[in-house]
Amino acid sequence: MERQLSEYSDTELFALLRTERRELAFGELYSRLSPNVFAYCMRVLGSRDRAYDVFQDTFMRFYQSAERIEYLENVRAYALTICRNLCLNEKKRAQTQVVEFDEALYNPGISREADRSEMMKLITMAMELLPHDQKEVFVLREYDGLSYNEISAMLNIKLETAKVRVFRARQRIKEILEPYLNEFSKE
Amino acid sequence: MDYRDHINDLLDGDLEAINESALFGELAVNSELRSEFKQQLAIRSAVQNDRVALVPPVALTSSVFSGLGFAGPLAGAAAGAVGGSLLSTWLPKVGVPLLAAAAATGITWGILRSDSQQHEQVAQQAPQQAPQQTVQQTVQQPVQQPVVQTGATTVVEKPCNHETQIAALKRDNAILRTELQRARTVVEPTNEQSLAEQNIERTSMPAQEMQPAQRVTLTNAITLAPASDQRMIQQTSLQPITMRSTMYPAFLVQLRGISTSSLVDVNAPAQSTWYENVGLGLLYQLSDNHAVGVEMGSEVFPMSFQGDINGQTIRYQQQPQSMWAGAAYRYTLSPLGTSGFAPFGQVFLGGTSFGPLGRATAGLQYSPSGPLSFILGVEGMAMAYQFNSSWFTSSKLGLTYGVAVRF
Repeated sequence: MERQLSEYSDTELFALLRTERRELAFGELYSRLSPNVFAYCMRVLGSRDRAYDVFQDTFMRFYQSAERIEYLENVRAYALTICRNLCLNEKKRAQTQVVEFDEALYNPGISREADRSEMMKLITMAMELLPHDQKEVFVLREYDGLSYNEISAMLNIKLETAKVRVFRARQRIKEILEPYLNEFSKE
Repeated sequence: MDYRDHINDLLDGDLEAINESALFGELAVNSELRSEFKQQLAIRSAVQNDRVALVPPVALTSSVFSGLGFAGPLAGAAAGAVGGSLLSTWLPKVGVPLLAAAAATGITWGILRSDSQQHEQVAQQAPQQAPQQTVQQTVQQPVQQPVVQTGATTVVEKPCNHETQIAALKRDNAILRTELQRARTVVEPTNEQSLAEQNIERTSMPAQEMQPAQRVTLTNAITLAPASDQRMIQQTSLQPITMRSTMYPAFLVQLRGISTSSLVDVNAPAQSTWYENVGLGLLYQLSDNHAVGVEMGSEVFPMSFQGDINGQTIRYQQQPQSMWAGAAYRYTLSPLGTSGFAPFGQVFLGGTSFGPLGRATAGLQYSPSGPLSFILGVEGMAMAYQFNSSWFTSSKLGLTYGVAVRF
């Protein structure tokens, strides 16, 4: 009895990209990895259009890499590494940092997405003000759910360094949002 | 011991049991640490919600799959999303001005319809009112003329009771006739004098009864010729319509859509609402050429500016929506022949919530007939705003189109 694709591991699906079932395997991998890659692009780049471009490019390169890589242990970390490198290139290409203000700053009563709370928007704004190294580990930890070991391996930094960066990112966000958080905690 | 590290470890799920009890013990007595813990939980909760909301759009997924030559698991949904995206992109741009134009046309149609109904009512009432007016005129004129000529003082004292007086005279006349008949049968033939006196009375009475009879006849004669009077009344009732188009000063209410492209390179998404890029104006038309007034509206302003914050140069890009208002002056040239098209130019000075705003418009105004007119023109806009004591401008160029009603 043939197994469902959803029962395959990421490593097995990546290996299937070299077979006739590559389209189905890619579809399953995309459904698993796209939220992580998309969150990283959006929160690290901060620009929707640039994030879309990098997101699309990431999966193009990810699929093409299957032709030369036979075995991959941590597929998710690999996809995020491709995405990270493309994001770094994109940030180098853009000399100055671009900050897209959310419309909620100008009209708090209007929300583009109904399920996004005011607090979420404020945190998104605060993340834009983080140094890149802190923002990167914060996104990988909080948005992509990577462990500190995975982060340290992916970024080629020490485990403690990864922990310290996440800790500092959390403290920095808290400091930026201190006035709002005080109001929030009162409620 | 820094309990903030413990909070951090707790959030990561790495806090050891022995430190967990110590942390909760401290949280019970330390309000500052409790506040810190609440804040970190709030941040974590918000990040989790944000993470759930961050899902690649169907259109983006479709692009990835089509780029690889795959049909894609959501090809149908993606196509629908692309179509929906196109609709959502073009609907505010095209639909809102069309909706505004339709609303203005409806209002104008309602005004014109009610106006024409009033004139129809006037035209329908005219044949009924005309005889009444002629009756009044004919009653007065015959009464006054005979009074002057005959000196019938009773008519002058009670000019409004002619009909009753005529009826009374007829009754008296009938009584006299019957009494005269009776007298002819009763009186002796030898009483010549009395008969002569009665004859005198008899001959004098027709003279009295002829006066009211002439009045009635004259009145009927004038009343029976209403055709020419009706035409005159209908023409008189139509005069306000022909006069309205040339009567000044007049007010002009104008609703227009603005479809412009930014001259500033901005990648940020625009803030979008259903009432964006529209303007409502009230112009005071002083003559065929000059009009002044006020105008207000809502529009998206692309902004790109930069500044140094803590030694770091940050460039901001945004496209917020803002209300705008100000004063406008319009100069309209003479119509091109009898086509109804007239070139016009308009300048506007006002402000937004960000800074001063200027507009310049040139186009054509089409006034087919009546109070309704349409405009189509080219418009340039520039808005100045300040950031970190430096001035920046947002400029756009495009089309404007709308409908106006003069009253």
